[in-house]
Amino acid sequence: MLSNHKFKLALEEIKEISRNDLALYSDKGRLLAATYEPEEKLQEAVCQFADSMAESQMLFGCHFFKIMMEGELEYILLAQAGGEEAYMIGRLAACQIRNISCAYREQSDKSSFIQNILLGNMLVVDIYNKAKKLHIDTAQRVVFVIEVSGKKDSVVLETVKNLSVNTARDFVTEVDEKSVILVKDVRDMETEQELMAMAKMLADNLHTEAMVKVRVGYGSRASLLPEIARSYQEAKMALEVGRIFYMEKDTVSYGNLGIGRLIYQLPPSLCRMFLREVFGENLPDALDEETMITIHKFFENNLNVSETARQLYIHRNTLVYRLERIEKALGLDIRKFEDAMLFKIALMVISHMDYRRSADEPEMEEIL
Amino acid sequence: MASLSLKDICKVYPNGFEAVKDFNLEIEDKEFIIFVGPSGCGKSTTLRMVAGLEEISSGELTIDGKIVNDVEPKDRDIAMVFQNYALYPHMTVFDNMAFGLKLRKVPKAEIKKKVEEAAKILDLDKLLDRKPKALSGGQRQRVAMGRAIVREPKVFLMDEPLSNLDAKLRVQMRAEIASLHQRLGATIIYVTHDQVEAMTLGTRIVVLKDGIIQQVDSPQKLYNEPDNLFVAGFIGSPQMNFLDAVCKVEGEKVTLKFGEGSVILPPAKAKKLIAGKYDGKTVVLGIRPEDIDDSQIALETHKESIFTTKVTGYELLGSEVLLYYNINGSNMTAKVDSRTPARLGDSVKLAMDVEKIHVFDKETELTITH
Repeated sequence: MLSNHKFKLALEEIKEISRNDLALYSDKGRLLAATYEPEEKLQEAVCQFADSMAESQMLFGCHFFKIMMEGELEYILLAQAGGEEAYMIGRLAACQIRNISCAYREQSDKSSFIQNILLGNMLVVDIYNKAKKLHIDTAQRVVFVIEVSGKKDSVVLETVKNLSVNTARDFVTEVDEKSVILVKDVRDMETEQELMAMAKMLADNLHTEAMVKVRVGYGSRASLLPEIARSYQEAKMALEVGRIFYMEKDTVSYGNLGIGRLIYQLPPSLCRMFLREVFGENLPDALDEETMITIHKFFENNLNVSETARQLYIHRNTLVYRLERIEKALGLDIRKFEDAMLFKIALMVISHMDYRRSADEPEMEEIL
Repeated sequence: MASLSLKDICKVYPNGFEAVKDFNLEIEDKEFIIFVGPSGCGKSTTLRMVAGLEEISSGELTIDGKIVNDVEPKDRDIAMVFQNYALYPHMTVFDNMAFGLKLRKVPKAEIKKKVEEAAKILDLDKLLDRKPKALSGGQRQRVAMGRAIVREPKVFLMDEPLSNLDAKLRVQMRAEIASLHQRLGATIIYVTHDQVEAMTLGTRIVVLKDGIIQQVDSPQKLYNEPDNLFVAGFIGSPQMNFLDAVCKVEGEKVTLKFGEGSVILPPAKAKKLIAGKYDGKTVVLGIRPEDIDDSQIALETHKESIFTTKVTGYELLGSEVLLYYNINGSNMTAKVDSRTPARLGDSVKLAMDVEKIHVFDKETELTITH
């Protein structure tokens, strides 16, 4: 529903130009916006006018105009003063209000159309028919999901809307309380780098302007309208997988999830079996913080002992001793590529299991 | 404006990765402080913790004496300028600067006043009606700054705001940011990986590596008196030359031997090596390219530190020339006068200014003397 504030702004602007007072009523006679305080008796006159056959009428020193949308009465506009000039101003104002409403209705239609596509609520044949009606052409699009931590306010939506260069080609909408969705026409963005730059721009601008922590995930390119739903699911998965394996990143691309995506899709039973095969009963929970930091640093430096020791400010021999201690505890010599790979995957599986557990706990609490 | 205090700040991600470790720093009111370091050193993470965009794992952050660890970003009275800024394409400069205030329902008259004041500071007052596409890169950047200024925050946080600009514009904007700091009298925390930017802008610089503060000092002190090998190598372009050398103590005389060459250290530096019992040990000798010269005066002044080498690279910078050569397996650079007769492949005599020699412990990488 278009806000009364927007109507008020429009009426005030017309009054500023024409110096003629105006008032807008709903089809039921409720005052929506006005540039002055209309008398109460006018309300009754508005209702009578609504029921009449006339399209415009002069009553109580005012010109009354009906504003129709697709053959249905939507609003009634009153232009105060009875002269020829007031009639003309009233007609112009009625035309303006009708155009504002039409534009809003079209926009809102498009928004709900895109929401339905995202949620998979439409048949393919309906998608094409409706798209034709709404003048939405086929183009390559990517869905960006902007996840807001904490309470989402209108600032986020407004900022994203205003950042979209081509609002006729891009769509900004919401389907839940936690995120804002941008369906972006990417005809002029040919590379993955450009998409990542777009995601980073969204994140940085929201951090700056809305001052809320956001994470942006995006899916792969959708060339056809029904594929937008797939791109949306991928963007959501990118955020989910990113939360488990790439916590430090605030922009995540589905295409760059790598092995994380594979692990994310493993069923818990398989994960448990894999961990038992790798570690037996000695799960690496037992490893202390210092050892875990050593391992992470060692992986970061591509298994280079000297560089890792230098970065950890420890002697090379100290690092070798720590690595041997890990081998003793886990049975994996992470200086060897095979073992290092196995350990890295196992660590990711553990992160995945931990995340699932923590995600399940609140749900269980709610059930209880 | 405001002062900030970061006490024992740590950031550990759930996967165990420690991005920032025991970060302790006091930032004075109206200070322009720079966080500098290589990519992944934790500088942006620290800034984001100050902004409230990243949770602080442990430690205490105070702004003007008030603990703000759990305060929402928008309630911290800060403004941010990030690398990937974008202006609203369909809005004028005025509307771009006013947008954030409008969303926060600031009264129109107040918005107008704030935007006009900021525009005046940024020299944008004649461009307020223009759309972003009609602005130059520098003007756009100033509008982005304007969006932060209109908020009138206690602290400005800037995360590599110039990194998307071309080299020429970056130099111009650097000067503008410095003068903006003077005019606003603001507390600014500025993150960059560019040490030239850090040296030219900051009143104090925090050098970070692997989430650990390496040194906090004025640009001059960082350059002349680095605390360790990392800072010495990171600050300065071209970077400091490093050479493994064996320390030989004879009474009060200390000689550093490297391959065929050697230098006798001045008494003040020698004392530190004697006190540290470095006799017979390998240390790292550091010397900046501009402290190695081939001029006649230098060769006569520093007779004890002359060495002969072959020029493997020659780069004319205009008023100076960079000579590249190799000593004992280490690649070295000398920055000499452009009138030097030395050319690629020549054998040249170079002299080190021994007073400018730095010596580092090879194991701990800490400075022994500078």
